[in-house]
Parts: sequence; structure tokens; C-alpha cells
Amino acid sequence: MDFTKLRTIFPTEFLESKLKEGKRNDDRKTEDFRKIVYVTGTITTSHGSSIVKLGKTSVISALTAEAVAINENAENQGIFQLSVNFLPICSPEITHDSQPDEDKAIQQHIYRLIKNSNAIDFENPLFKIDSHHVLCLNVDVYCLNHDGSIFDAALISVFMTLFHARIPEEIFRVSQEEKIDSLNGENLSTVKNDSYEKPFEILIDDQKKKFFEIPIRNVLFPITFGFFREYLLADPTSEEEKVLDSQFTIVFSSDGSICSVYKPGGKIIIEKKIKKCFELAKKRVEFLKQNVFSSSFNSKEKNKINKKIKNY
Amino acid sequence: MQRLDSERTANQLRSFETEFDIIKSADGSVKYSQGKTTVIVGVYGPIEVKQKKEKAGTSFIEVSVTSEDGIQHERDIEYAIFIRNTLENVIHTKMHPLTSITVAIQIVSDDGSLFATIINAVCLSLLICGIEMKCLFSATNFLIEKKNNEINKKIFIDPLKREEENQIRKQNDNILDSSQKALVTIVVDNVSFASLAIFTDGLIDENVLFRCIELSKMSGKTIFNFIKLALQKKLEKN
Repeated sequence: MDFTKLRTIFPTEFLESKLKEGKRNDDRKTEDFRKIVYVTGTITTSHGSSIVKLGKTSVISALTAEAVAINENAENQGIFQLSVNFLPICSPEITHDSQPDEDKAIQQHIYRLIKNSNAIDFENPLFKIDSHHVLCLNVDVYCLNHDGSIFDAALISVFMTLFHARIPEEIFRVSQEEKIDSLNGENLSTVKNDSYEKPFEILIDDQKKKFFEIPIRNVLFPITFGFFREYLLADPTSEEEKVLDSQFTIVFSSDGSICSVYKPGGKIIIEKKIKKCFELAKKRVEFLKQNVFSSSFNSKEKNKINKKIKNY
Repeated sequence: MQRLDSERTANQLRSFETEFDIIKSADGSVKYSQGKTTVIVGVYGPIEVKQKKEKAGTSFIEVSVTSEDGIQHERDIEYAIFIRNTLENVIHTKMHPLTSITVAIQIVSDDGSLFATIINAVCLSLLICGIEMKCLFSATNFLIEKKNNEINKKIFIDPLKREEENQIRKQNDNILDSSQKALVTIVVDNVSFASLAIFTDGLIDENVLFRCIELSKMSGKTIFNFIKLALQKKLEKN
């Protein structure tokens, strides 16, 4: 029976009949990932931002840094706060009435990854402003279009934002009795300030401003798979996600270790399949390293600011 | 291998305790503990559901997790979503269309290995409630630890809270010298003992993950035997 006209009514049968021909719903092969497009520096009011498109899935994220007062007993480390939101704009199933909590799961997952996997060096002197203040990174992630693999797009977007964030010098000045507030009309570079170390003095604009980058130790690469009958589908779209037996997400770190393996229920999986997933994932990590994140690793490119559209 | 409660070996689970029908108004309820980690689960279902939430053809599963302080932390929401995804493929939801099955989980005390305790308690409570399932499931928590002066990583089953959070201080400098830690939770079913769900937190390697999957089959059998025994005793009483 020809299921192409009944795609929305019989999604399972449609996918099955397509897979027998060796293709998926969007004519990809089972092991093909979708194209990644990213833009950085789109939100100029924030200190760093990026939009990442994985096929049709679009995610935007922005970072703001601020100095936050801490208690004397608290650890003198950088603070990281993350919020992930699915807006009604991204999918017809999400409305103001029915708020799914899928975004909270992604939020908590990415938060745990960044805290527990040595991705950002929170002990770096950049984060310790003085004995009572630390730097707090607030990252907001919004989904603009839900077409599957949102976790992948969100994590890549967070890392793009972190890489291309430029924190201006004023953030590190805290107004206390002894210290003078910034922006008194003076040229900032001439104001002497011994309150913080400067490990990352990199960019100098026309106006002689200094910016700081975030010390990133490792980049995290997410890879999501879906299982449907006996097929292994890489990077499922939202149409496929609804009929999948189970999903499987692996996050690799750039130093080779595995940061997270996430299989939230679904049908059972045998070890052979897990091994095959890992093999495919490693190839994907190589691809991401060489293409998507190559400019971030290359120090010369770091000096060019923003508004670059990269298409892979 | 040295553990902080020195009576156990690295591959040994703690003792289990179950008490059924602890919530009178629930269709099925259980108070389950592994060592001192205790969890109360109440299952209400299949019951009527609001029109907004009802699904044609299947039952709507709702899971909520609450901490000891009565607040739903972010961690609890993540656990609830994970458990709901697991239950959607284990419960025969097509047998009860246009209804809802609510699983309410209350954490009473957390002494390590919390996620595994919650999942085991959910399985027991669904059994006692009489909801049709495709298989039984059981979970085990693993602690993977590598201290700085050791070569290999060690795997401890069913860790205590103080093992999970153990920080080693250097005697000379009193600087925190935390070893590399990771926590892995694996859920197995009782038909093929293959992994139904995997949840990791921290840095691990591939061979560590496969070793955990092997160990989870062993511990899964122990837990299923316990479930059988607990049910037998309950039925004997009745």
C-alpha cells in the first residue's frame, strides 16, 4: 500500500515503507546527520550569542555576565546559570496552556554537563573578582523551531555562545566603598585597577576597550540517535521522534571521554547496538571538530568579531 | 576493595525493605528502602482525566517527584521526565484509553543511590496496584571512582551518600583533591536483562559503561528475587 499520501495519519507505516527503500522521511540515509548552520553575535545587547540550525531545528542562545556578591562561606568559584525554554512559536503542540517539561529536562541535562565535565574552568582567576564577588554567567536558550534533536542544537549553541562571548572590562568593576565605579567618563584603559588578574587580554577595539574570553577547557559534542524496529537512525526529526522505539544521546568531550549517556526509557538495547552507536558517534565528533568548531579552536580567527555565517 | 561501610564489598547491594499499602487512598502504594535511602510511591490509576490531557487510544502517564523538603527541585523534574519516558514503554497504556495513571513519588531520606531506589519503588508500586506491564524493571546505581594516584577506575554498586560525595583532602596543604567521580544508573528488564534505560552523570569511558551494564544484569536478578519474595509474603498475609 502506498503510504505517501497518508503520511500524517499513518506515520509509523510511512516511515517503515520509506526505510525499506533505504531512505528516511526527508530522503536521508539512516546514518546521515543533518546540515548545521550557525551565526554568532546576533544579539548585540548581550555579551555573546549564537543561533544554531540543525536542519530545520533552530535554537538561539545568549550569554550575559555579571558580578555577583557571595557569602564568605560560599566557594570562590564562577557561577553558571542556565535556562532553556520552548516558546509556543516553535511547535504547534506547545501552547500557553500545555507546557511540556521537556525543556526542563534539557536544561538540567546541559547544566549538569557543564558543571561536572570540566568544560569551563570555573576556578580560573577570571571568575574570582575579589573576595566577595564572583563572575556569574547567565545563559538563556530559546527554541525557535522544533524539528527534533533539540538537545544537540541547544548544546552546540551554548558552546558557540561561550566561545564567541566577549565580556567587557566594566563587568569586573564592583562598586564598593574603596573602589570607584566605572564609566565616569574616563578612558577605561588608563584607570588603574589591581583588583583582578588579567589572564586573557585579547581584543582591543578602536575605542581601546578590553574584552575577556571565557576559559573553556573542553568542548562537548552531542550526538542523538533513534531506534526504530531494527534500524538505527541518526539525528531524528520531530516526525520520526514521535514513532521511535527509543532515543539514545551520547555526549563526547574533546579530550575523548564520554560526558553523558542518556537513554530515557524505550525498548531494550543490546550491547552490539550500543557499540555501533559509539562508532558512529566518534566519526561525527571528528566532523564537528574539523568543521563546526575549527574556527573556535584557531586562535587567529578569535580576533575577528562576530556576524559570520558558517554553512556546513 | 575498601568501602566506607566496610562490611560490604564493591559488588554488594545494601539490604532492602518494603512496606505495602502505606497510603490508604492510593490504588497502590509502597514504602521502599535500600539501606537508609527511603522513598514512598503512590500510584493512582487508571482514573479519570481532564479533557485537555486525555489521549485517544492510550492512557496518559503522569509522574511527579518531590524532595524531602517538599519542594520539586530541578533534579526532581529531570527524574520525573526520565521515569515517565521509561514507563510509557513498559506499561500497557493501550489497555486503558482516555484515562490517566499518576505516579507520585516522595523522597523520605537520601543516603546515596537515590535514582535506583526510586525506580525500584515505582516498579513495586505498579505491581501492587495491578497495572499491566510488559515486563518488570529494576535499576542499579554505580559509582565510578578514580583517585589521582591509582591507574584504574573502580566501580562500586549502590553507593552511599558519603561515598558519592567523598572529597579527599591532602594532609599537607588541606587543598581539596577530589578524585574523578561519575554516577551511572542502568535500568534492566526481567525478560532479557538488557538495558532499558541509561543515565550517567560525570566523565566515564566506554569500557566502564559496558562493565556497568554487565554488573546491572547481576544486580537486576537480585532485585527481581526480592520483588518476588516481597509479593509472596504479602499474598500469604491476605
